[in-house]
Amino acid sequence: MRRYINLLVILVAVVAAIPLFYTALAAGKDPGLVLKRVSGNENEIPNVKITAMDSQEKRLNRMFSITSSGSHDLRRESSFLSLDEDPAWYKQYVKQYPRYMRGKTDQGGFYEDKQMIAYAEIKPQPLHRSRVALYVGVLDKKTKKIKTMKMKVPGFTKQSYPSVWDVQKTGNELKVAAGMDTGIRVYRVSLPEKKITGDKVIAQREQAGRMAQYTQLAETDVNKPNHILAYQEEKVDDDGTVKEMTTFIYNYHTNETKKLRLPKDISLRDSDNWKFVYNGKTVYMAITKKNGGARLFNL
Amino acid sequence: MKSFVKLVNFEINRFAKIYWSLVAITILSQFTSVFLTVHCYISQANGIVYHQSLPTAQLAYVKHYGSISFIDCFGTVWFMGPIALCAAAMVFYIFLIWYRDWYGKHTFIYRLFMLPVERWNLYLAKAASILLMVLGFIAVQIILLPVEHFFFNAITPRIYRMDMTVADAVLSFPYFNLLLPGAAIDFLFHYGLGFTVVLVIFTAILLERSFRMKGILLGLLYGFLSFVLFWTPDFLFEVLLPGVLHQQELLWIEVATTAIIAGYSILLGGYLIKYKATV
Repeated sequence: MRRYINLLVILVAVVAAIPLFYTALAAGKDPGLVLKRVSGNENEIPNVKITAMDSQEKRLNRMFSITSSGSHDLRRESSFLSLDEDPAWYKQYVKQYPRYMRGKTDQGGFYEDKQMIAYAEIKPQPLHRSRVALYVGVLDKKTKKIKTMKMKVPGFTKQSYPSVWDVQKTGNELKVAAGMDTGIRVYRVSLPEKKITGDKVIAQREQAGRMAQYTQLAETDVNKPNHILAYQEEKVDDDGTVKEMTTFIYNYHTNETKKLRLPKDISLRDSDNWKFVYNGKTVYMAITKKNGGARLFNL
Repeated sequence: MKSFVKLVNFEINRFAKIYWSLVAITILSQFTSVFLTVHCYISQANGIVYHQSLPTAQLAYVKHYGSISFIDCFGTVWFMGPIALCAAAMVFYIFLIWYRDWYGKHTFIYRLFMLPVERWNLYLAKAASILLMVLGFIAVQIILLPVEHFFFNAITPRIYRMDMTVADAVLSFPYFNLLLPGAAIDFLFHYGLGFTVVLVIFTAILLERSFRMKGILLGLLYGFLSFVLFWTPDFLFEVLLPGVLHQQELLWIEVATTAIIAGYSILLGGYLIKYKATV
């Protein structure tokens, strides 16, 4: 038996210590953070996920995720199995329509109403990577039939870095808003004819000046019907400082673009601390106050 | 089975002196790290507190300079150095475990080949002993941490100390994530992948031992092909056909690919040691 002492000592240490360590880690305390409804629609709670960090003297850093089902210490979660940080609606789509969801990863490209789920994406054509095409997939929720379309896109090359920002439906048409380095374009895709029937440039970098940059504002429900697209135009100096910032909304029904007025008593210098979010009715703006907390505006 | 256990024990015993020396160095060095970290902090604190000679000076020191925590002991060479030393020793031993049998005293591989056991067992026993010794180092570290934590708490005055659990300290120190990932499944993935790399290297070594000069090229080619195969699912489904597979599916395909690489490494290694490797 003495001959085996080294093997036995190592084996006992491995079998005892490693499982014990991971059992202790898994049994670690729930951070005890909860989501509590103060006001608003309770049905929206499954879509809410707050990631929080508790840092003590920048050394003891705890990352939490807080959802309606409780809170978790993210450090104790698998970095492999928690790869998908997708929102609840997206996971639901994958669960309910796994075949339709293959290859559909750009969450801004989804649209859902009572009848259908639509998805649009602009990507390079296979074997012709310098050319891009608009791919549209429509799922009929009742019949589960999938209709796919592939269309050549006018006004785009791979160098334009096009990406779909938003998809909406008006009548029998899908309206696909796409951002690229030259500006923003909205394409009209006829669902019965399966082709692009027109497009409109709603913002052009050349007209606004060479240093203009466009970004879509955050949407509360990216996949829900919404008649506006809210975006921002930033004009920056050569050194990258923001000279001018303008917020616009584009109405899919009227095809009109409207400029929004920002509050007068705010300084552009603090623009890094501005947060925007919009739903179908309102664009909200939040400004972090110097002493903590935030001011909220309806634009 | 009995002969396999005997061979594993034999391989471990051959490395035991160095192994336990490394464990002893780790224990001594890590306790030194805890002691020195606390000692430096307390000396500095006492120096400043002594000059102020106020009853609340210690509290003021903590507010101004910050408290000391168990994590502070991890960042020193005394603490991480022995871990790196053990890792380096194991990497070195992956090669030495084979080559010393050929180039050591009395061409020991000759005697090994003459043993009345399946030669296949030699390959598996060497692989198992490497895995056991690596996991043994991890186990030693896991056992050491609570003891070091107790020692840290015992020598650090309460007023200067930021209290935390051992788990919190380990999870908050990024380098420990490699050694001890936060979830058990990650531990299996990390060490499973590491063990597969060991198997690929073993098979490459046996190719070299079987075909000598040509074998060096074959070994390198084998390593390269295994590397390519490992990255194929990622390249296929992240670059060429992005989004066709869901993330979880891709992960399990990668796990399966790793298992396949480990499997054919064992098969090829077993074949080589049985039929091709010569003294």
